[in-house]
Amino acid sequence: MKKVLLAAIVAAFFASVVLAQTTYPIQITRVETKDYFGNIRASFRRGEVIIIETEITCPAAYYYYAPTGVNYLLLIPLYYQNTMVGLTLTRGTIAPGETKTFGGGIATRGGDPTGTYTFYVYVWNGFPSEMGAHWARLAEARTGTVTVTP
Amino acid sequence: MKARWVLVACILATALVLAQPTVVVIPITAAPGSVVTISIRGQGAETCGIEIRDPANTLVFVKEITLSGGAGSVQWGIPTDARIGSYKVYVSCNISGNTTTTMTVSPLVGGEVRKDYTPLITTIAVAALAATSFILAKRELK
Repeated sequence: MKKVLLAAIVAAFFASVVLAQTTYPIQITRVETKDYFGNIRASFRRGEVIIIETEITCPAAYYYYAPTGVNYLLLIPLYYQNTMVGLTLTRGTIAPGETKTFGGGIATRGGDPTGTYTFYVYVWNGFPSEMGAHWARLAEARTGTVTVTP
Repeated sequence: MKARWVLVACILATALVLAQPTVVVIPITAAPGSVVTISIRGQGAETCGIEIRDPANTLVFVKEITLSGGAGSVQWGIPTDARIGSYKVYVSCNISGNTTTTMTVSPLVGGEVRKDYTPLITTIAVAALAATSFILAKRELK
């Protein structure tokens, strides 16, 4: 009987680890790329600013876990191939049931290569250098591409 | 029998607490414009955050990766105008914990390989000078 109980405790522990991996307190509900005037665009000329706008929400049900809200770091790095060419970020707190919008601009330069650029939207509890072993992602990451033309 | 189960549970718990992801950067020294691979070995399908900071502590790379079978890798293309020096690579995973390593960005050493004709030219010049001296000395003797 005790063996069964111990096995159940160990199984429950591992199940909680797995569940902790798959349930996130924040959801990224919208990702759009826009120009300086707010028009949705996926193609930009060199020298233009790429604005990446995201909307995040914290489900109301999360109130039971974090009634005062969740502190987050929202990062949007822009890559050309494997090189990070730009980054925009914000920190904040989102309350359960709340929706927040963030738009960050990344300027392209005259000498930048043309082609497809990839951006990622990450929501973390902080940088790995700050959080160490307590680092966690708070939302499923999103990705998208833009084209840079001459 | 009970003690054995407790021991197994303690070993499992200790292994989880003390576990750290293993991070290997290849090559450990690279030039601006080249690509390095950061390989991570952790646990299962955990998620890891990777952050690289240059010698001035400026963020130059940030990426998230979900391991497959406890392993995964990302590539970082070092910008051509990257600062020379020691870079810190921070990796934090949601199960196996965190680790920090360093890599170096050094300027490209070397260049075009060309044959050095200096010894040959010097030898010919010395021989010509010796021959001229010999001829002049012989004329003076006449």
